[in-house]
Amino acid sequence: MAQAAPPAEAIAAAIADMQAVRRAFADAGLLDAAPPDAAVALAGGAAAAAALRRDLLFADALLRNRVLPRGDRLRHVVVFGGTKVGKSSVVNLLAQASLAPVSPEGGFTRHPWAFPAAGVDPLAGSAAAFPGFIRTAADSVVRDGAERYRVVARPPGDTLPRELVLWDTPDCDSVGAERYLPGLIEALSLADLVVYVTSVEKYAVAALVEWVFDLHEAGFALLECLNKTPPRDRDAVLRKQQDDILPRIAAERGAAVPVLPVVALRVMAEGADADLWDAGRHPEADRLRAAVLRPAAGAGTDAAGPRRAAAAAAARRVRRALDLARAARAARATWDDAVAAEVARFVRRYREEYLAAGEVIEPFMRLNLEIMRLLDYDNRELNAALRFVRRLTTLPTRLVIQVGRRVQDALFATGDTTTTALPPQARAFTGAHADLLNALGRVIDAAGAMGGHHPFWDRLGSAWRAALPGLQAAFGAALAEQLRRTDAEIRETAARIVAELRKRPALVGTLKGVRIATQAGAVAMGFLVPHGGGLVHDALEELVITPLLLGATEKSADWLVGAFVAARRRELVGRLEQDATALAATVYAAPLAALADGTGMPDLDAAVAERLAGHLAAIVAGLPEGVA
Amino acid sequence: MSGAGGALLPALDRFVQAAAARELLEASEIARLEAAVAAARAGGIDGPVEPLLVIMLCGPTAVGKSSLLNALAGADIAPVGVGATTDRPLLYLHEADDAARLFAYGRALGELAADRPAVVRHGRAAVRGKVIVDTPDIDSAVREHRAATEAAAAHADIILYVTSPEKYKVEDPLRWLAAHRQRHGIGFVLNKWDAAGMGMQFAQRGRVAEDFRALITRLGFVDPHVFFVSTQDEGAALAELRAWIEAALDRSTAMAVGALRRRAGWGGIAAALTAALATVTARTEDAREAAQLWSTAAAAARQDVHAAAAGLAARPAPSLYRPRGTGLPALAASLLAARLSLPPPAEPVAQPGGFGATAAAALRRAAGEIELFARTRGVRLGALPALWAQECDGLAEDLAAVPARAEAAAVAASAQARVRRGLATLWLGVVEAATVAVLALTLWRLASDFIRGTYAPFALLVSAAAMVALLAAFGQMGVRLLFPSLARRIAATGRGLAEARLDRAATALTEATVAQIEAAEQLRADGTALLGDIDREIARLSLNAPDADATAARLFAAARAE
Repeated sequence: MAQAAPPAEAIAAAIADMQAVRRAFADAGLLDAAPPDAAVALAGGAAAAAALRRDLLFADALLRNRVLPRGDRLRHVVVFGGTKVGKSSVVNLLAQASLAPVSPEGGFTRHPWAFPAAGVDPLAGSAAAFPGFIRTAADSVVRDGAERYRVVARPPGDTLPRELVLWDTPDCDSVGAERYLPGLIEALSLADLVVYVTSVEKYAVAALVEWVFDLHEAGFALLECLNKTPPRDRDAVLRKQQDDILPRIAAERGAAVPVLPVVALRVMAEGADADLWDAGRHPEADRLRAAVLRPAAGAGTDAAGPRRAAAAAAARRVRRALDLARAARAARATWDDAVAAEVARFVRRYREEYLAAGEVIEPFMRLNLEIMRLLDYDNRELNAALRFVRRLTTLPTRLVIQVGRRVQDALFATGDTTTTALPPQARAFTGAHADLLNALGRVIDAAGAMGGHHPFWDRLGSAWRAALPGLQAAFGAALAEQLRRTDAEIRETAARIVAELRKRPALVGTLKGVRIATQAGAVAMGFLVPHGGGLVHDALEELVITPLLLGATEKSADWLVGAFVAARRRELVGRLEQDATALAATVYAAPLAALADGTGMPDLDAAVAERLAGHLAAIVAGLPEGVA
Repeated sequence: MSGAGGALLPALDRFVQAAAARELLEASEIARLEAAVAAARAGGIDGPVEPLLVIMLCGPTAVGKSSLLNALAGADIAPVGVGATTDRPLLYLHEADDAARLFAYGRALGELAADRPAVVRHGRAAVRGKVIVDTPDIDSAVREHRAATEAAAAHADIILYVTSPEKYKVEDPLRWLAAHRQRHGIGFVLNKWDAAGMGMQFAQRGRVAEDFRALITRLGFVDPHVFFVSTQDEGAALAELRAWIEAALDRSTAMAVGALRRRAGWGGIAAALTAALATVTARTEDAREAAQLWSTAAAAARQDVHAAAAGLAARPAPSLYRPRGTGLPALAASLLAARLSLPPPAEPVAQPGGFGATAAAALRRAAGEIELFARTRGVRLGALPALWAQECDGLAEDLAAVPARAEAAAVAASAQARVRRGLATLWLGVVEAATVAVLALTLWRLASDFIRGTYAPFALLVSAAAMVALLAAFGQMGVRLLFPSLARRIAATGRGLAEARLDRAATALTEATVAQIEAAEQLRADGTALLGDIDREIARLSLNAPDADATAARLFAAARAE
């Protein structure tokens, strides 16, 4: 069959992207043998987390070792199976030598062991295999959990062909096997032929049958070796497997039923190890060896068919991980959008309640008093003396007027004069703050109450509850700072308006003239009116002239410097709004984004995920079906 | 006994209902609590007083459970195959025992007992009062097998975990075992302990046995019951197992196992309850603080209402109210009087959005603050915020209608006062007559002075003007005494109406909030009391000396943090 050629860059790019995916999930703890609670919750349970880990590791290994064409002419035969099923014995049987140690407790093989011919490097053509693994020799006994693989040369004079590399693998299902899963998967992914060793106790176990289907779907050539099964049970087992067990799982997965070649080994009840491969005592051993060495069994994996199947399987498996990352991203995006919307609403509400209402202009009242002071006589001492004399002489009049007001109040109205506690700006801020926190809390509650919600919301909810008091305190501090700054800004603007007014001497002069004229008129009235003109003069001054003058001042200031005042006012409002936006950003936006960061979701770029899916699809399309 | 336990379960149900009614607990917490209750029920906390001892053979595929049952029974009652053969549980029951008693354990076992092919009767007196059950494999590729075993195993008193030298180290069945560890008594059987089963490793079976025991110890079992049997040969081991089932598992062991299982069930409920109660953090001080916040907000709203009412006073009152004088002098007099009137005491407050909108807004803002306060304290408010919003909207609506109502009421009241109206008109008439007289006198004096030739009109005019002004003020004061400002009366009525409505709203809001917080505290108290009762029940079950029964003690694993 023709060797198809999907562009090598696509494969290299896909491998690079897959590394990025793997890194993102490893950072979130999802590739650990014992993942943290956040990762387990994200995956949807301990079993789902273990399946996710296996999927990712397998997809990565498939890409590197099977889709990328191998450059060597070696033939890898990997022995695989459950615990204590006799894998190491089968390896020894095939090599006809005691290569792999066997123990009655099982689980001795913790790392993949390669048995190449002497002088052959098993990984000669697979540069990308076993990344980060340490190659060790047989003698070192290492007890830590670091990732290793062992290479032990076969003794000279072995009967296997030179290009054959035998692999013994760790168990896939024993206690603590998940720690050795990466090594197992790497070794498996190199296989030209997988010898699947099973027994009467293992052939119907769901987990192992799933492995068989996974390998078959990914284009592996399989040879089943039925071990530890009494002869009288063999036919029944094989029949049940083919008619009942395999079709059941196939129906569940929606896959075809694989038809596997089977060789059965007898149960050796007694004898030495060497009897295993003694042709006289164990004729089935020869049959197994012949089946393994048959050239048709497992045509080179560089053929297009297995490569396509491997690429398709990798695409399928990594899709589950990518979907998970996408769901996490979507949940996170929902949260980010909600925060942005609420922060915008915060600023808008502050603007509507405080800046747009008349209350921000209240400090401008201070302006008018400042301006009035401009209309005093230029001589300061004269001013002070006149003011003092006036206050003294108008004392009785003012008393009368105050009493009159009190009497009127008592007779006709009862009014309260207490004021509310907070200044209007603080009131606007606290109201908007409560609204923002309540709205976000409601978003979290609603998302968490939905059935089947993403675990991101649970973790965010607990982080949120823990962070609430801190947010309150930060807001309080920021508010105090903001009030102080606003006060300073308003005072500064008022000073600038007064300075501007001073620049219009004509206006000031006119107002001064009006003031002097009215005062003179009041005095004249007093002189002309007999017996009590003084009272009339004071009453006129207090009740009519001063309010009139105040109003006239404000109106003329508005009219003459109106544009200036309006511009200052707008500038002040703009600055206050900017301050509010900055406050919202520091107090809310940054801490809330950090809150979401700490929830342990895998941080995978959407672009990388899309690219990877695209590359894999291109690779699958670029390889023809081929003969399986 | 089911007696004391029976009283606790209804109390637990009431607790869950109270929590759900006011949303005081999250749905996930309630679900966890109910799951714990269901598991405990399966463990028999309200079970029968006279139990049958249910011994279940569980294990992975093809380890020889059915063969073991056949060997124990001495007959071929269970079908034997090459793996995944048993597809439904099989009960081995004495002929004198009533199968219907198994219904007390739960539907799964009861229905099995009612299904005739699933029950095999025997007449061996030594196994009377015990039911041996053969179950499908726990790791079978056939999904229905696993589900059937799960349903049946929940009701087992003792699980005989059967495994083989090839399978004892596989992770998944051990995980299954760990999940069932606390709730059932567990005994271990290592089957296929012969040369045919172990092949060449039979010679080193000592190491295998050690490895197996180490594994079980790691699971938390101290001195467990372990049997190494082979169903192929009638060896001593099989006889030992048979003797253990028949003799060692006697009545006291059965009672002890039952008590320990019930204890585990209550322990599960206590754990779920403790976790749920940890989320209810309401205290009495929170209720008081919330009430305080509401009353502050109500005070602020009341001030807003007063200011709004004062604003009503500044509005122009309907002019048909006051009696007028007649003719031009009255017009002149009223003009003068207006000039001399005192300025109003307060500036009217502009009310955007209608009368009382700021009061409703103040309450709404307080609602937001109290919701935030509750969130910070971890008090769950359930549907309260929606209720508050509704109440505030209703308040705003009613307050907006107050000015019209007040005006109508005041005008109606003042229209009734006919006597006073007549008096005021009379008075005004008198004043007008006096004014006309003064003016006439002034003119006559002017004329006479002019004729006489003494021309000093200024003083005369000034005194005449003063006189007229005084008369006008006099007249106005009198009318005002009789008819105080209508605008002020409208304001007073309006304020009274608005205050009453505001007080009603504030009381309703405060009461709802305080009720919720107090309900949360009540829930916490109830839950703590329930925990105390459960602890007492557990202690009582412990007192019935299950630890004194050595067999039962060795069947249960020590409690572990995982």
